[in-house]
Amino acid sequence: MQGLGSVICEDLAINDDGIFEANTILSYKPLTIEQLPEIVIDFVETNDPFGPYGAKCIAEPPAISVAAAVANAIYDASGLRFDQLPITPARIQQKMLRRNAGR
Amino acid sequence: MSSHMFELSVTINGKDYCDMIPSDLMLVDYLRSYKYLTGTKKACNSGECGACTVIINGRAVYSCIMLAVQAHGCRIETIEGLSDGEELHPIQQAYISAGAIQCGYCTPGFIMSTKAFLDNEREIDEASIKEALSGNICRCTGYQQIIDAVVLASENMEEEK
Repeated sequence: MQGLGSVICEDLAINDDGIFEANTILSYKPLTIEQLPEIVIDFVETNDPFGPYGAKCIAEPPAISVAAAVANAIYDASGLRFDQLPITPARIQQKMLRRNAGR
Repeated sequence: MSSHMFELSVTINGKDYCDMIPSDLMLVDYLRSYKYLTGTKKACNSGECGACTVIINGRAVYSCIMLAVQAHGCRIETIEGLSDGEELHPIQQAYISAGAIQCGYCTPGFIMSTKAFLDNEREIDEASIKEALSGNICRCTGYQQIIDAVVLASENMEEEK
């Protein structure tokens, strides 16, 4: 859920003067309870040679993988690749308009 | 440069209080600094996050954007008023049982919003729970467990009736 927020809406924008543009919680925009998707939990058993007894962390570190999952889903749906987070509706629209304009 | 003083009488968790306070004092500061009820948290101080939620005359409100004088003559419930001595309120117990707490800073606000919701609402389903709690932000984003806790609390409170 936290990973999803960082991919689709949370934006800690800093302008050229070094000032935070998102200086309140609502303009930074974390997800609220209303955007909660259905969550299905599954475990993948791996053997990590660097972890104690081959253990791999759970909880926050896997939040990173949400970005790749969402970006791939958007690529699958639209054919657009993104190299910047968050992937907001505005950014998707901008890219689509640019593609449709032929560049 | 002294602000105007006001004689405030309120009922907090069933007890009557009367205090001389500056008229520009916010309710959350009154509760925390004058009454030492520090269970009510002050986080964003601008009515965005919901950590400061208290119940005034049965309605959940943000105490950080409400002047203390606006609560004059009102009935205020804070997180401290829920438990009966050592015995936890069913909502508090449900939050523990469902594991709906991570860092815990948003929890008092969520519990007060939950209480106002369960006291007032008849239709309790996932959509109405989400709507009722959408004014509270949990940065740990453990929202699924919070919904589970509200469902559990409503069932337990139904049984007690």
